[in-house]
Amino acid sequence: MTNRQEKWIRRIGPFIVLLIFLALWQYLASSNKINTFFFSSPVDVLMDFIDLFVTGRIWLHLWVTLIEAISGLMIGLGLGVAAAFLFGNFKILSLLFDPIFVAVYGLPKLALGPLFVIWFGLGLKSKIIMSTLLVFFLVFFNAYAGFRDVNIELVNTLKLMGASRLQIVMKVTLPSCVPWIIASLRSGTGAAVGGAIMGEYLGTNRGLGFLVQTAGANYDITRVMSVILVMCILMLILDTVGKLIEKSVLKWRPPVD
Amino acid sequence: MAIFSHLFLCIYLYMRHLKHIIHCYEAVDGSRLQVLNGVNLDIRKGEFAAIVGGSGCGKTTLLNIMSGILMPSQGEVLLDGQPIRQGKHRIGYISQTETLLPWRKVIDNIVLGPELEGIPKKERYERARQLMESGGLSGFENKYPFELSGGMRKRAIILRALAHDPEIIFMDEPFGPLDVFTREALQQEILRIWSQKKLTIVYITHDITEAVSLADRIIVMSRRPSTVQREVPVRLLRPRDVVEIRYEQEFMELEREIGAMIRGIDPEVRRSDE
Repeated sequence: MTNRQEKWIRRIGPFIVLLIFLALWQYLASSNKINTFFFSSPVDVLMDFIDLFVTGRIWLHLWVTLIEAISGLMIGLGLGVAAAFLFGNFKILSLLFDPIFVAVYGLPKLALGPLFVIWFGLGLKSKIIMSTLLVFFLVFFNAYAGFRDVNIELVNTLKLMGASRLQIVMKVTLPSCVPWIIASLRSGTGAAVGGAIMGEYLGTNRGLGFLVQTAGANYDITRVMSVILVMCILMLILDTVGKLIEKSVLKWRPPVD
Repeated sequence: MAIFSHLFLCIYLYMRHLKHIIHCYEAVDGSRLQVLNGVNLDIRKGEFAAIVGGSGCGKTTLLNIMSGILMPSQGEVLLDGQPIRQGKHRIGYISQTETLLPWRKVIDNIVLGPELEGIPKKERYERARQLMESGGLSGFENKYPFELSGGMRKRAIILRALAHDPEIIFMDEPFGPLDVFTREALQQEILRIWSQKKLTIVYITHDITEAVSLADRIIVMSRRPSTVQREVPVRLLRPRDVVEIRYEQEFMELEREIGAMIRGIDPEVRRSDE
């Protein structure tokens, strides 16, 4: 395969695969070979998707989920970096809490859902906390690895130049963690949206998770799928934003390719 | 009276004075590995001193102790009569690894020392620009380190040390990983800067040719636990051309003498030579 061929396949190949899949699905649905009550059809999903936006019904739910996810992402990011920093600087904290953190990290967070609903109610708060929790661990473990990975030679160089402890943190430790934090920010975006939707499944009256939940309860498969399509597009947009941030913040690194 | 004369020496003649440095490392199995055994060394102000020795003789340990990165198990290091302490002295340290901050542009790296001292922004960038001009790096101010060649990064590290106006510069096999021609160019450059700025340099290397062509004095370390085996003055004329000087009779004799000294000290080296 030449380079040029590869480039074209990379660019349009996935769309062709997707189109073939959709065409097959549509054919099976139209010719009644599958039951559209259970499997819907691409055209129905697309029509419902358009309908959601034309009638404007989606906006409230989209907005609510976005607010929850972004709040969770920001709070989780802040707490994760702060905790990693404290753990990295005060050994006693890491000795006391490392095993606890690992245990909680391994726990399926959904299991905590009922507690959050009881403690924080059915409003935004419980969703934001669920989302924060998911993001926190991702960021924490990444940033902690980053703090421990700081190049000791760079630290020594600055020490010899007479840098204070604070200067070393500001000029070496934190900047060298940035790639780790950015990496966790990108995977954290997925976790944040996931956490928000997970929280909505537990009970609420707005949000994308709520839409899927109610549609599912009513056997409205078309609606379930069109809202999932909205989620996919939302993730795609957030991921693109993340990529752009990564590119502009990490331009000091040699390109990987 | 003895104490008095000692102080006198420290202040007027000696930049750096090591007093019977002994250093041990704790090995993984809990046993202690003694690296240095009673090293006693004076570095004079404005001197270019080279420390040579076989591998594993504790050259780098000694340098780390002298620069204050490492505390010796026993003994003390004085700079201008004061015990060495991090943050108190302006020390340049150039090792064989890359120590530019990769997320800073070249010029932002060079201003680092003055920045830590709190020198105003305009002044420190002015100083950095002048240094880059004289060090052959102008035009690269706004590049990131990864965009430069290995030799240029080394130049930038040297300029960063100079921007800090150091009392003493320690170099630990600084040009080790570079190719021969880049090394020669940088050796010549370091000699030029040394004589121009009247610096004090302690240069560690296992390359005898390099040591003889650069230094005023060569300190030969014994094998572990090491002491100073011999101090050999190098009386070759300056300014030196690091390439041409190698073909002079006196140079070759000195090189052979020091080489024999190290081979005699290190039985492992001798064995592999036979």
